[in-house]
Amino acid sequence: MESMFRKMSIIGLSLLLCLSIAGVGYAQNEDSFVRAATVSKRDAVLLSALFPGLGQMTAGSKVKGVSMFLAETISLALFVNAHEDYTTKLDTYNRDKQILDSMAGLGRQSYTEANKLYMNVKRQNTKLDDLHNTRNIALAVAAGVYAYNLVDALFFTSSSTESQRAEMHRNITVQSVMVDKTPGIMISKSF
Amino acid sequence: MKRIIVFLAPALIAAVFLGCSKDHDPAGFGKYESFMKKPANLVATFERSTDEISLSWEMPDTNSVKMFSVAWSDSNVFDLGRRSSEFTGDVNTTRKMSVSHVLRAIGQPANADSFIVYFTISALYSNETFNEFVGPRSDVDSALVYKK
Repeated sequence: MESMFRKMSIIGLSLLLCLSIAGVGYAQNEDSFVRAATVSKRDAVLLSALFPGLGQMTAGSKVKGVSMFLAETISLALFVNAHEDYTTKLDTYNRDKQILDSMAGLGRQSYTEANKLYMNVKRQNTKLDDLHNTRNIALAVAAGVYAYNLVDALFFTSSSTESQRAEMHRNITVQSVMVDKTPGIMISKSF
Repeated sequence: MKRIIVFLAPALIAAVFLGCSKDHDPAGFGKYESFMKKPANLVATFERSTDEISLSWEMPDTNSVKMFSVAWSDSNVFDLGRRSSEFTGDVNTTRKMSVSHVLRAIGQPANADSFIVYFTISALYSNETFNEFVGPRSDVDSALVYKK
C-alpha cells in the first residue's frame, strides 16, 4: 500500500514536472511569438498586400484585421462559386443555343419543339445573367475590401512597435535612477 | 510601397475586367418567328353521311410551304392528350379523313358512338434554311363525332 502511494507520488510529481517544463516552453514560445509579431509598417503593408487583414492583425488591430480577412474570404468564396457555376452553365447554354440555331436544317423538326427549346434557353440566359451579376458584385466587394485594406495599411495602421510603445505608456514602468549619488528604482504609472 | 501599388493596381483592374466579362448573348428566335406563319381559320366538321371528318383552313403566305401537317388529339390541351399526325402531301387547304382512321390513331375504338376530336394544322417549310421544318400550329378546332 505504501509502495503504491510512493509510486503514485512519483508519477504525479513527474507529470507536474513535465507540465511545468511544457508551460515554460509554451511561455517562451508565446514570448517569441509576441516578438515576432512586432512588425514594421512596411511589413504590415506587405502582409496586407498579400491578403487583406493580415497587416492589420499583425500590427495589433485584430478586430479590423479579422473583419477584413473574413470579408475578403467570403466575397472571394462567393466569386469563385458564382464563377464556377457560370462557366458550367455557360457550356450547357452554348450547346443548347447551337442546337436551337441548327434545328432548322436538321430535317423534320418542328416549330413547337424549337419554341420549347427557345424557352428553355431563355430561362438559362436569365440564370446566367443572375450568376454574372453575383460574380461581379462579389468581385467588386473583394476588390473594394482589398483597396480599402491597402489604404488602411498605408495611412491608418500604425506599426505594432508603435502601438506596443503606446500600450507601455499606459502601464507601470520601472526605471533605475540616481538620487543624490545614490542608486535607486523609480516605479511610475501614467493614467 | 509605391512599387506595390504600381504592381497591384493594374493587376486589380485587370482581374476586375476579366472577371466581369460577359461571355453569353441572349438567344434569338427571330429566324423561326419572323419567317413562319400559322394556318388560319381551321374548321373541322363531322360528315355523318360519309363517316368522314372534313377539314378546311387558310394559309396567308404559301412561300416555301411544301405541304401541311394535320395533327389531332383527344384533348383540347393538345400536347397532354393522346395525339397523332400525318402529312397531306400537297398544298391543298382542304382534307377529308375517315373517322375510323382518326379514332384508331389515337387509341379509341373505331366505332365509338360519340367522341370529340381536336385538330390543328401546320405548314411544312422547305428551302435553303429550313429542311422540311414543321411550322407553328394553327388554333385548335374540334369536331364532334356523333353516330346515334
